[in-house]
Formats: sequence, structure tokens, C-alpha cells
Amino acid sequence: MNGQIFTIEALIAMLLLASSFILISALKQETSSVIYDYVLVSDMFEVVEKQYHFGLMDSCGSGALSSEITDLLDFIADQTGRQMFIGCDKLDIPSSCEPYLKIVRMTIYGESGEIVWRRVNIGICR
Amino acid sequence: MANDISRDRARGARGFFSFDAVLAVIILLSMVSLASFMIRSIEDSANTLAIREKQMRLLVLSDVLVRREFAASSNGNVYSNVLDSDSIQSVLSGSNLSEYLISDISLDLVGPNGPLFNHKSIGSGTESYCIRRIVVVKGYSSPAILKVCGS
Repeated sequence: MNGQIFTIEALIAMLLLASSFILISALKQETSSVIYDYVLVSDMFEVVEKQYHFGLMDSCGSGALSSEITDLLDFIADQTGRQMFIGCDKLDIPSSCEPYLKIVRMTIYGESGEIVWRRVNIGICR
Repeated sequence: MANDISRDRARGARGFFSFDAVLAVIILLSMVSLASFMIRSIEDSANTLAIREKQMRLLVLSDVLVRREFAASSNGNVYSNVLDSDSIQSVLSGSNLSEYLISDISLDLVGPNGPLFNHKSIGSGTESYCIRRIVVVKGYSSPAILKVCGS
């Protein structure tokens, strides 16, 4: 074709380049929000381990969230708009919650301040 | 009669634009739109990076406050995410938060029963970005949210 100024290969290459730009910009936005959510979950671990370890141990043992942990989760949901969950031992993640971010840590503090090795999941519902 | 028809066909085939020229224009237009899209995409990426930089500065500032400056301590141990009211007051009275290159920093500490404390640095701009940190305040049994905002 005499009138052709760009080859089909060049056009395909340009389209691929454009699609990669779209993908990168989408990934960037996703990364930004996830970093803040990681910080939120990390803070939750700190607070639960330091202030709510009795309530957490009760909840893990009984399988039902204690009232103080429930109040904490409600307060955070109210202030941040993020519904968080806690899972450990007998305490399951609620069926109404579809986790999109979950971090697992192995320590909580026992009643006399000793470290109890327990697998605790804290995360954010979708 | 037959000569007239063949003459008309010949005229029609000659046309004003050739097929190749039309195809070239279409490809050229698509390339131009693609190039403008890519430029817009690069601009968006640059803006996103600038916003990300501010967000990361806020994250670092909030981390410093929650884990060191405002944190309660005893016997050399620092308790991150446990805030001490006295530390907050002493840090804010002597600290220069502008060293974090964030303008219009505002700090709000909100508990279940309402605000516990707020601080706003000198500046008239609007709060653009905020990060919320879950904390407990030493001496209070309730949780609190430290909201760090800046632009």
C-alpha cells in the first residue's frame, strides 16, 4: 500500500504501550490506599495487644467477641469508615465480612504480662 | 450507451481521496489521540506521585508522633500507640512540625465521647490529606483516633 505511513506492527506496539500506562496508573492508585490500610491494621495490633489483651484472650477462648472489643471495632468503623475483623482460635471471621486485607501476628500478652504465642488475624472487610 | 457507463465508472473510480489516503488519515488521527492520551497519562502519574509524596510525609510524621514523640514511656521503654497527654503538650509547645515539609498541619485526637485535643499549625490553607491512627491515651480506658492532616 503506497499511502501507508505507519506499519501495523508500530500501531500494535503503541496500543500495548498505552494499555501498560493504564495498568500502571490503576496499580498506583491501588497501592496508595492499601498502604494506609496496612497502617490501620498495624495500629490495631498495637492497641489490642497493649490495651485489650484481656478482652482478646476471652474472645479467642470463648469464640464470641467481648463487649470492649466490639465497642473498639464499632468506634473504628465509625471514625475511619473501615469495618475491621479479628480472628483467633475459636473466634472466626464473621460470615458477613469478606476480608480483603488480613495480617497475621503470633504474639499477644497474657494476664500477667507474659507473651502468649497465639495466632491472631486482624484485617479489614471489603 | 456502453461507452457512457464505462466513462462514468472511470470517473467514479478516480474520486477525490484515495483509499490509501483515507486509511493514512485514520491511522494518523488514532496516533495523535494515542499520543495525547499518553501525555495525559504521564501528567496524571506525575500528579499521583506528588500526592503520594505528601501522603508518605504525613505517614512518616504520624509514625514519628505515635511511636516516639507522643508515646508514653517508662524506665526507658517507649510504648507505641499509647499516647501521653503531657508528652503531647510538651512536644507541641517546643516542636517545629514544619521540618516535615508539610504545610497546615493539624492534629485531632478524637475519643468515643468527642474530641480530646486539637492543634493547628499556623497557616490558612485547607486540609488536603489526612491519616488516621488508632491509639489509646494513657490514663483513659477508651480508644482514640489521632487524625493527622496536612497539605
